[in-house]
Amino acid sequence: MLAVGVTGAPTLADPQPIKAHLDLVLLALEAIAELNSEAMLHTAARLHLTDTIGDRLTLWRLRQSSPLRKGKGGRKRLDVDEARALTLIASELASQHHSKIRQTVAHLEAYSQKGRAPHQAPMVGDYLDRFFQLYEERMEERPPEALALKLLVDLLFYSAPTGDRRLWLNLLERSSPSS
Amino acid sequence: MNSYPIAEGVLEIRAMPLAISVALGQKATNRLTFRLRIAQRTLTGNQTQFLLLAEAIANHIETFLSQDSYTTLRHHLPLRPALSLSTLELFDLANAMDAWASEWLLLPSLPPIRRLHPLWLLVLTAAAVGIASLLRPQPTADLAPLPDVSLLEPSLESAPVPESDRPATPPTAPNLHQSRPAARSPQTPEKPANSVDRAPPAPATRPTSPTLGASPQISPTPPATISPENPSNPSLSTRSEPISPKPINPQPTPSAAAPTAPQTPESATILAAPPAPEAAQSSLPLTAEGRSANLDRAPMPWRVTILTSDPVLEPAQKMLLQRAIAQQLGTRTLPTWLNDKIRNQPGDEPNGKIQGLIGDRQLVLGADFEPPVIIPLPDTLADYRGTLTLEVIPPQR
Repeated sequence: MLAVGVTGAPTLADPQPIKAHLDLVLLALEAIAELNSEAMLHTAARLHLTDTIGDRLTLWRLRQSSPLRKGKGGRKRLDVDEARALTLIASELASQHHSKIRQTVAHLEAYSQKGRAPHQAPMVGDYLDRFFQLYEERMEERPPEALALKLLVDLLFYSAPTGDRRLWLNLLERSSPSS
Repeated sequence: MNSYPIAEGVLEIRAMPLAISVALGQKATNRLTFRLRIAQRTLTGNQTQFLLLAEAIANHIETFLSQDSYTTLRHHLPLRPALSLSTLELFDLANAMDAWASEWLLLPSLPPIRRLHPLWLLVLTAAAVGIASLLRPQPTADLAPLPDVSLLEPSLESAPVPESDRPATPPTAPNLHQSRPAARSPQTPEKPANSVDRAPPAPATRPTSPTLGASPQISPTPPATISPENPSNPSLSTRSEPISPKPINPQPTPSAAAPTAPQTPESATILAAPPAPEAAQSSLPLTAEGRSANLDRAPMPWRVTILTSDPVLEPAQKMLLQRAIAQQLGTRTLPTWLNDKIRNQPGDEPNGKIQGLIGDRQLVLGADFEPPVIIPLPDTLADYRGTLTLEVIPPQR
């Protein structure tokens, strides 16, 4: 749900789930595509989003606003424009790395059908290793493997031509009072 | 025919373009059949079943993405016959349907005009006169016919489109919803994040459709048909031919009885009969869960009224445009909170009036629609200089 803040900038009624989910989606992208913040800033520039996310510090503070993060130096507020910019960046990066995401999901499905543990699939195992490493560096607790795998499958859907819309609707859904 | 490769399968969609496509600037159809070959199975269906499938897929993906974990990578859609897809199949199928819908506008099917033999007409006329003389005359209002859009295109409703009328080149791209491309192209996000609740920018380029020229192999197994015929006893049909769409029986809806904007000689109101009500009547879901979800989400009729300051528009043209807008809205699944927002938009006129904006041959309905409702204008409207106001009343729930 959207509201207008004191400054006039639209804000999200309950931004906590949005902050957390956006940060996790970007973290999963970092893990699957071995990205860093430079790639995100480059994408922001390509999408003409530098007014919202123009430098590494801004990006760090926005991502640090996730309630799951260890540090407390992040922003407490998240504007709609900022959430939208992160949404566009995430879906654009997912689209760029669609082939690898799809291939990894295919391996995940194949191993699941055989009843084998997902991490035994080489591509999935590499992804999980990087995901856990990044997660433990930044978050309070070790995540369940199911979360990492779910984010991987989510990335597949966000990499579609309508992926930004799917991610955005998902975020709105998470911020609505009924959710 | 459009063909879209699915993981280990293919989706083929046959649609006959209507004459209105030229006026709308987009391919429009109300007759569609599809064939889905996937995992050693073949499913066929008509327009109703296509919409059911599309809705089931969209709902399932939305639900799946909103969860924080999953229990299986198999996706069971609440349809009869049951359709179970892998994640890649679900992804490909959703993309294929989005791709098709970005190129085509799906209009509701209307009952075909029955042509009677002149002799029967004479007999019926005589009988009607005799009966009428025995009965009290009915009030004129009861006899006044509602605008019948089918009269505008009777031949398309009652006769197949000749091969020569079909488009010479296969469609190349899509749009059920607005896709991301705008954000992808460098020139699009000139206004990166201005609107509040609008989704990421509309596409600047259309995705290339994976159209295939070759016909797919027909599965040796008999095709199954998603049966909309008997909702109380949905069952798997083994007919190899698609079921022809059943005529829509117009039924009064709450919105039809709702107060409407004052009618002027330059205004006309149509109640679109979007595909979902037809689907809800004749089909599906199938499981209790599916039925409940579909009833809750099924697009209900939107009422659209176009008010113009100058009577420039041909009434038929205006009606077609209203129908196109209502159809566009009817095929959308809007979250409840957005429906409420439209109905009670503080800055708008009472009853949710939304100003139409004219420019570049497109009509854009308010920033609160997600994704934005962009409707190509017919030629007569593109150069229209007068004031145009749309009254958009969301479905009564």
